[in-house]
Amino acid sequence: MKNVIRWWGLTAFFGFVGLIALIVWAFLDTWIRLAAESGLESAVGAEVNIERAAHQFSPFKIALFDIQITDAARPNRNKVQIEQLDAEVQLSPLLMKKVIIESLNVNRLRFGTERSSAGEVFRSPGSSPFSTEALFGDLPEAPSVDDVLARSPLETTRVAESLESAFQDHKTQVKQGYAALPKKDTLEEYKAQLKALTEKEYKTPADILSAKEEFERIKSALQEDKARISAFKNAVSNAKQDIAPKLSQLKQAPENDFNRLKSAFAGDHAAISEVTEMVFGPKAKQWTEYVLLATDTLAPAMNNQHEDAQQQQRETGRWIIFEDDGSMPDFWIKHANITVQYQGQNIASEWFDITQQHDIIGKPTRYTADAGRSPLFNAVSLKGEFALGDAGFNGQQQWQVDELALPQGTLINSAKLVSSLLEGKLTTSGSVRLKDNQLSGNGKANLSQLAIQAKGENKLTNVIASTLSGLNSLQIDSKISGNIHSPSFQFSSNLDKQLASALVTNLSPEQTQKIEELKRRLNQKANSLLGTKDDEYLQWLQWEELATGDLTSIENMLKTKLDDAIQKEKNKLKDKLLDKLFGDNE
Amino acid sequence: MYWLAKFFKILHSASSPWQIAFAIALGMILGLTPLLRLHNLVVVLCILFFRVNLTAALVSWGAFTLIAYLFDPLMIAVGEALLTAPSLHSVWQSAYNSSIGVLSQFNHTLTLGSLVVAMVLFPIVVITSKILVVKYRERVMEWIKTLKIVEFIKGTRIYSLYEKMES
Repeated sequence: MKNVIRWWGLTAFFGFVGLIALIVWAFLDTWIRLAAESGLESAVGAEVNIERAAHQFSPFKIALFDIQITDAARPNRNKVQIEQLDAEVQLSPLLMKKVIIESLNVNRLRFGTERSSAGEVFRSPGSSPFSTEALFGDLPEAPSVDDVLARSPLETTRVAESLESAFQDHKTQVKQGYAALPKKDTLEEYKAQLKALTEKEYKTPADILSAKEEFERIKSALQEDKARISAFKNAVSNAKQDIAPKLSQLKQAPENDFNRLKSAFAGDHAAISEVTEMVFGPKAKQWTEYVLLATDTLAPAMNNQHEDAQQQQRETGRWIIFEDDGSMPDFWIKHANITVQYQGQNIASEWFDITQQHDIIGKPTRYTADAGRSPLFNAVSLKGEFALGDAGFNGQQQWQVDELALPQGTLINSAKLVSSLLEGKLTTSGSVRLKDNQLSGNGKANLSQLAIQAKGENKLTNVIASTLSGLNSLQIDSKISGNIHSPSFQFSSNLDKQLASALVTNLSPEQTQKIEELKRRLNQKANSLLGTKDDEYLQWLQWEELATGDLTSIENMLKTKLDDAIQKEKNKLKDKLLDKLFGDNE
Repeated sequence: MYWLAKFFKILHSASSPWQIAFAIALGMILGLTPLLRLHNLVVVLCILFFRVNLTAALVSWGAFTLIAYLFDPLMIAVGEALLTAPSLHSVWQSAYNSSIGVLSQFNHTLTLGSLVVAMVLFPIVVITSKILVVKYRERVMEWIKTLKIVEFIKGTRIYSLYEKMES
């Protein structure tokens, strides 16, 4: 036995294992910190820093302190900074490579905080939809009326084409219907025949029978004519329903086109139409991203994590996954409390069932955030859910923020226009739906009690600056669309119209002349079509009136009854018979 | 080269052929399979607890690690075939849902494939190694000793000093 066993070897083995355990225990906090940093970095594609980590074994809890996640779009700032994160993790599922977190507490989560040094970016975010540098150049020379008419989609042309098409659709039916209508003479003839039949004195039953047959024949012919008139009236009625609104649209269209196009002669039409997006877009996008954090950031990050894990496992051999008896997802936070701090105010949010394998737990990830009145806002309410299906994420979210005090800051800083927000209040509400990774939704943002400072460098930007400076309130409509990984936001408001009318108040004689020419050309375009179509339409209406008269006449004729005349003759015959039978008694 | 010299020294040492053969076979398991696996802890325990030749085990581990680079695709294919065999599905399924099964990381194609290949080769390597060691000692070692160059080296002062230091 002594020849086979080496006792000091056993001691060495346990010493070796003990040493490993000691090293694990000593460096566990560091490994937790490094693993969390690496996992988060692969999920968000930018540098993540965690100041330190701590753990306890029973129950197994980890705590991470001062987590800073770099904003890939602005590496000098953090997308998210968290003061402290505590998680109670189930140990046994970790053996199955499953991270099941019973409870998670996130304290003082802040957005957009400044970093001490720029963070590294591993995956570049999508490029900005527009650059402010090339904007608001000097006003170009006013284009010609022909150019404006040629390149602008005109409402006048569109409505005219639609009207022409409607006329062509109804023309055949109305004309054929009119051609099939009974002639005046025919109706007069029927009238005379009916009068003769009702006023005639019938002497024999054969006469009565013959009159009755004739009467029925006329009535049948009248019924057929009545049907033809009804069909015609129906065709005209359909045409009226279709054409009448188009005619009034065509009468209105030149004015609408004129109001829309006149700014083309006053300034850079494209730039004006995007002022809302350019001046308020970046801030509005930032606010919208805050409320969409769950669907816009968390969900894709969870999906990335899942995909990355699969990719790494394929390098040397592969991991084959068998069915899991425990029905547990790979990652599952059962309950989380996250406190978001915005400008010194706390907004508490509660989350349930955060995972990327919703089919296993049979529930979507749900979240709510509510905060009552504070010096910063009147109320904040947010509610939503999402779940990962076969084709991508599905879910929905609603939000309502009342009177949020906006912080001072730059709205736009381009070579030609500089604008800053001094103060303002934001009330926003909206909803967004998520279907197979595609976002669709709308939001409204009411900016009130606005104080904006703006300075322009040329005629166009001076007008914009002056309009912005005088702005007290503004309603911005936002449209959210696109893929969950690269959502797109569109913003619009009546600011663009305000700017256009401000620009047209001060025009040169040449510009005024061109605007007058535009008005004349648009009216000409509409009137040339309106003239012929109006006449044709009026003729149809006259035909309808005549048909209505004929219909009344036919209905009156159909009310005529032969029964009275027949009854009269019947009574006469009865009296005659009684005379013959009882003539002696008289 | 250092390890090769060490290995020849083992062959010339007093260790029994079985001690060397088992050391080679155990080192082979360490070398062929991915290192950070639960079964390798058992292999290390065997190497330390049983009186096998430690140097031979270390040399074998290094040599089979190099060999493994060549045979990884084959071993992955073996693991793939076993793990995806319908007849074995229930076995893997129950193993997958046990803690020991998960800790063993058997569901990795290279891990299972290389372990199975190593286990199949284990008795063959043990017996072959034992026979080769015996044959070496009987024939090659005696022949080497008779070589003039060896006799010359053994007669040098440097070799004597080396022998003293080694002892």
